[in-house]
Amino acid sequence: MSERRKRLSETLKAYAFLAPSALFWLVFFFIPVIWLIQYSFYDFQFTTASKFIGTGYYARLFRDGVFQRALLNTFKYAIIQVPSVVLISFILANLINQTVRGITLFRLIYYIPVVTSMVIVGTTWRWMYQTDGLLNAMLKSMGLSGVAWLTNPRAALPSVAGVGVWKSAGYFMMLYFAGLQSIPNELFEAAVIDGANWFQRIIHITIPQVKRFTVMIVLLAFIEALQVFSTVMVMTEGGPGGATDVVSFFVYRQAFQFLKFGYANAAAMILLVVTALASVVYFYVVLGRGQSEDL
Amino acid sequence: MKTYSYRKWLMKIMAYIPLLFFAAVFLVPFLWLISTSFKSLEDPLFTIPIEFLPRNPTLDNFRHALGLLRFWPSTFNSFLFSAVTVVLTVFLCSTAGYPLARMDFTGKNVVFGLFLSNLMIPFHVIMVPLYLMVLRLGINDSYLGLILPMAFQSFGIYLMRQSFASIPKELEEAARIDGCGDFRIWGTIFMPLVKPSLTALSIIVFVWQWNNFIWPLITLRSRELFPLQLMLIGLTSGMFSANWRYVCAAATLSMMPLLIFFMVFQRYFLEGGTAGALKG
Repeated sequence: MSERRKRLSETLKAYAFLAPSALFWLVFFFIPVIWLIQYSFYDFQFTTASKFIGTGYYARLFRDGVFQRALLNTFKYAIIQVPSVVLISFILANLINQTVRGITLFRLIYYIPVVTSMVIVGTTWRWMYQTDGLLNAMLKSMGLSGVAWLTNPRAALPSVAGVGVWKSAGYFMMLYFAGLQSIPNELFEAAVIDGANWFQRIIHITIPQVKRFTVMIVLLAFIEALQVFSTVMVMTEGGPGGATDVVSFFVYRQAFQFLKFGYANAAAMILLVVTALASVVYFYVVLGRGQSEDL
Repeated sequence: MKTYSYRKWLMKIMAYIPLLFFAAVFLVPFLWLISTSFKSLEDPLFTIPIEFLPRNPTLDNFRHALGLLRFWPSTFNSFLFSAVTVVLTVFLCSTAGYPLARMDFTGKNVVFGLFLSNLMIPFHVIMVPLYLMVLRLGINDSYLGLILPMAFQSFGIYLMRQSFASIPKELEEAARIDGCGDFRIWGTIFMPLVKPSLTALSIIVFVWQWNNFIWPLITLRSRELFPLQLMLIGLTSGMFSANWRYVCAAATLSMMPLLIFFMVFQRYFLEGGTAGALKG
């Protein structure tokens, strides 16, 4: 009996500690999630849900060419961004894992874009991407012709994805760096004794040893890419001609430019389902290859 | 022997080539932005070969940018907005982290699971219903509306739970024998011991909130409340974007506060367990 009373008082005390967070969680997370689902089935009058319309919005989304293009662009963006950022951050992590003088300074420099706001990064790159900007000036000095980075519909999405890679490479670099530091040094020493060169050490030791980091980094980069918003918002606003319109930007525009909150919620739901499905499929594929013991 | 040390020296130099190449990749865009912001009206912006040093350097662009950005009030807004969020988030995470790490109670795993479920729902997915919530609470276009919805951070609760859990049991038992209750133990014994985590969490939240422009963009209407990022986005996408000298100066100015912050607290960004926890 006293054991039970002690447990009860412990539970009450614990919930007193949890109460502030629980309140914030409820008001600014849980209820909005409920609304997200609920309101994707409702017609809106300005900002008030007025009429239940069933799956009308979802049916409309699947016929909406603009939404389909946004969904396709989101996948294209992910396909460009994820492999690039994973490869580059792996290279960077190996570079900053050296013990040479001044290496801390290089780590710092590679990390600057990560802590710089997307507004500043976007402005910087819009300036780099100008028709006569630095990038084209460099191309021209090498005898190549310039590219209309952000105004050519075929170049715009890769250009925007490139900025995404540039901004987050330092972040994933630090994750890979933690992975590299966890590799026992004896492995490399033994490989050197066996006469393995630098390239062989990367292929046969580093890559297998950081595999579980790669699994995580690919997933994080992929989820981030599916949510892409700020690069597009700051640099192109979906243009030219919808070439860089992506799903989260579609959601933003539907809600805050056209005040179609129900339609925006339905599109956000699809984004959520796509992200969750992609994560599940990804883990299924990774685990299905018998790599579960590494995770 | 001599050739060997010569080769070693050469190898060391070679190691810097890729390092310097990537340093250029990350720095040159910023350097070009900064160089443009010093160029006067007579200086050509586009030249081949590229000119990094302005012919007639001027501070005029900065003078204009200070006014266009309302630099000091906006910086103050950014600071206030970020600092208050930090205080609130640290309070929420440390109160929630303690029982999840140190107390034994009914429903513990359920609560922890629910709190972490945030991590599965990206911000862009719930920004619309979150805005509707802020409207319904009547805190749209205010600091409250800007700060309160951003204060709950699952990763912070996770971080604080981990560091509370790492404190040895003996310290707690000694305090209990002295007759301390849970609230005293939390406030006077545990909180000082998790200071490194509190600092790391504060820095992460501060930078993240300082750089946040999507939520202010959605909730704020009054220019007096605009943080720096929002003023800058108005400048670059608005009618002034034709004048790149001003835009570059404004971007350079906006970059400075956080760059200084980053340099001062660099070790928290690039060290230990918190490294990489930050996403700008």
